[in-house]
Amino acid sequence: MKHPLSLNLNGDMAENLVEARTSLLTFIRESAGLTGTKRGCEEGECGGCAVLLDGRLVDSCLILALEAQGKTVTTVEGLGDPHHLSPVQSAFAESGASQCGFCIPGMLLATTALLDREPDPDEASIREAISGNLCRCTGYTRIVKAIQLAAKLKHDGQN
Amino acid sequence: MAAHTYNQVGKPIPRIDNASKLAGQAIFAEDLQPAGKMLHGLVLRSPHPHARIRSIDTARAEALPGVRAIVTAQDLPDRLVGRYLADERALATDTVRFVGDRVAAVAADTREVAQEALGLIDVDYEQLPAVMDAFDALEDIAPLLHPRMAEYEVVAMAAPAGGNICSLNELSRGDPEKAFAQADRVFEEVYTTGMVHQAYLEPHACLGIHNPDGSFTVHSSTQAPFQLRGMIADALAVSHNRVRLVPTEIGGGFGGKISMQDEVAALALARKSGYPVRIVMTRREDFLCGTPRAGFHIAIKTGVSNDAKLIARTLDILLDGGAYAHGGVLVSWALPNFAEGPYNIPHLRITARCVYTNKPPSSAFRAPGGPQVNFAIESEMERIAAEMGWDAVDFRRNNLMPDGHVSTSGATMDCVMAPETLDAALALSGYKTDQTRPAPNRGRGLAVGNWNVGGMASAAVVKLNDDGSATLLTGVVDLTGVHTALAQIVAEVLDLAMDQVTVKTLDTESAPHATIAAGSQVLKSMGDAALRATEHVREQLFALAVEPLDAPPSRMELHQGDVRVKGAPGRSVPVTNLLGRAMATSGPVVGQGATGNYKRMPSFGTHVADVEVDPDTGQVQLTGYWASQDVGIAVNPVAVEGQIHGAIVQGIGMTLSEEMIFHDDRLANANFLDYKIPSVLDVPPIETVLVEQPAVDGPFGAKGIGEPPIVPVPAAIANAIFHAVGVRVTSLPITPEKLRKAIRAKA
Repeated sequence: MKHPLSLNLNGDMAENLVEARTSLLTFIRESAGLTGTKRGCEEGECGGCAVLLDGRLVDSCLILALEAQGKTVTTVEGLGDPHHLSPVQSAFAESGASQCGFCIPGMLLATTALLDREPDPDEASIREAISGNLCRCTGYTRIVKAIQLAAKLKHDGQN
Repeated sequence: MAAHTYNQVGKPIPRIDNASKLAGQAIFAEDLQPAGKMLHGLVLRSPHPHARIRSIDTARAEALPGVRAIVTAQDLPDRLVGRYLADERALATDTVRFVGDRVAAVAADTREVAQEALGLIDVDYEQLPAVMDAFDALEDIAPLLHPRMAEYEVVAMAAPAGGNICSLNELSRGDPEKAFAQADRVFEEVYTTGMVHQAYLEPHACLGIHNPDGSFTVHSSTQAPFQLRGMIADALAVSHNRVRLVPTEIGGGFGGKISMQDEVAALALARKSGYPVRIVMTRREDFLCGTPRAGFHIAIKTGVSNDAKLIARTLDILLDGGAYAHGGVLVSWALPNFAEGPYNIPHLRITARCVYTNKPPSSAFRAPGGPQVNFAIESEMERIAAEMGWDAVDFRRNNLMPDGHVSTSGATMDCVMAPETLDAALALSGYKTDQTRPAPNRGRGLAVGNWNVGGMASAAVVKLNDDGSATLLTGVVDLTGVHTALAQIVAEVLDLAMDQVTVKTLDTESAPHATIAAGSQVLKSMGDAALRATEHVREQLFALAVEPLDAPPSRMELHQGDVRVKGAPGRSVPVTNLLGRAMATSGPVVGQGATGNYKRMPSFGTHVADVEVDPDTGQVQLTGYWASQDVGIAVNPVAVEGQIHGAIVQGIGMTLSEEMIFHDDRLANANFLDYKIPSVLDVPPIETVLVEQPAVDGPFGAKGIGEPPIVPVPAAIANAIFHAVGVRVTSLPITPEKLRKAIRAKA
């Protein structure tokens, strides 16, 4: 049996009928067609599918789509497009923080959530904020640097 | 350090794929959505490590609404395929040899229906005794996993030696036994390493299409488009031009995306159903069916003289090759070429045996065999120095191979940068040769690593566009940022800006042959091909400019869109004019370049690790890490440093936490919770230094960089632990349990 679902996805209304068991990840990728959110493990262990649900970082593989009923979901596509990267995305580009790029959408959203609640995080906070996001390419070193730069870029942008 | 005088080469240019990847628009295999209907495929995999298949009954599954096709070996030609030894099938016929071996595949309208159908396929298995340990595989009474091994076709490198030994490789020099008898001291030890998974974040995925003309198209997340295309075509018994392999963006590979996985199953399903079929592995499937780093058993024996010289060494290495001869065979073949380490040892014998077991087929993983062997070699260097009362750094320095060293395999080692990287790491870390513990339970360790970066054939095409901008056409995929480096090479030769160069990855139908994206070879192999193709373009432009400039090509140079006479800036002609002239005469300007197989180059690096050990729990905390790396010339220093960071952290994983654990003949930790790769919290501050000395060969003097920096990691950390708590754990990973036990045993 399918249920009607309506939510705000990156500023647009997304509506469809979904099975009760459908995950938010599957809804985003297959119903809404936004494939920037990555399926790495479907067990909440890698962070590749991380999105913001009403501004809070969640693994979308662990959330049922219907739990997002009427809520606001932000995916990587909602941060900025290739021609208008957000400060967080630009910081990752400038810092050489992206290699294969598969973990990057989740990293960007974890960073966005961090900087929204803590605009000037220290390194320990940064590490804590992305500790649920696995990366196998970069060794994290440049990702941490990118987040430090992102904080600066966002700060500068507001002044 | 070399002085760079280039415009693009040597610059920290951001990756050219940043915008698409950072905006979530890069298309990975699972993201592909063909126009029209697509089916979801799933593979039925063996639940047994070793079994005979008596029968497969698909009738109940076929009757399930929504199921469009089911394939078994009966839907495929009777073909054995393999990269080194043709010993496996795309779908099993009568025998399965590991938990995860492909038995059948289903295509259905939804993934859920396909999943349900898998449960309705009735397979009658007769379980056979399983061999889960490499030593057990050597026993006379061990079941033969491939009784017909002698009949298998050797495709490359494999040296089957009977029993369960799918490759036996040995090289030696001098007379080690005699030298041991004459040595002042002889040291023996055994080191073991676990089977570790590449754990790329993107699970394997592919999309198979049966084309109207009967040919096949397959999109796959692969490091090896041409090699994989050949295997798929061979398994389907069609000529290679009938399979078009389209490589997708690849979400990490590290050697784990070279082997064939479910591509043939997807194509057989597509042929049978008439629809495109996508197969995406779950994380659990990827752990079960991936091609991990082989576990090693290394018996090392070393003879030294009282003047701190290495006199003799034997290394007897047993590799757990798993169920089929994938890269384990390559590793066995390559081991005698690099396992002498960074040292010059007059009497040396290296023996490698790769054996079949009922585990996943082991294969390549970043410097396959490198960190395992280095763990043994560099642990021994530190142990021997301590027992002999020598300074461990001096002991190493005393024995490092000289430039021009002739390796056990007979290859001459050029550009040996071992002492330089040792000095650079000592300086970077402020290493004191005094081994006094800085504080209780804190220690610092060092290891010198060597690796041979290599070497296979590639071709490339560079075409000039009508405004003088350039497009590089290549069949190699980008794992490391190497496409950005290739663009830098093209831009350098033609004196273009970076945004005037496009690198286009083509499929196997349209691209000239490309090497695999593995073995630290793309920058050299495809880099040389791209360099030569670009030089070919330049030659054509200079030939076109002879008449308007009234000068010979030898006096010409390219400068920001003009060909000009060197030393006479006024005498120039725009490239666009020359292209117009070409259109009227010789035709469009297209350059071709190629490189054949070439000699592998040695590469060195020295790592220093600081640790703090909790003696009560055995927990190891890394508190600092320093690495030097010999890179030839860093075409893109940001990309190079990124490779070093990534390699170090993967090395930390295999040293302290990662191991595929088999209980009751089955993988017990097929997920990221139980198979723990490092998170950001496990990573210490890392500092790197690039040691630059142009290589005699390689574009602009560059050497491959992807693999070497993982080599010294386990030994550097193990040596740091030794200096912190005075005990040595000789098996990787050095888990808290093992270390705590060792500390207790000593106390």
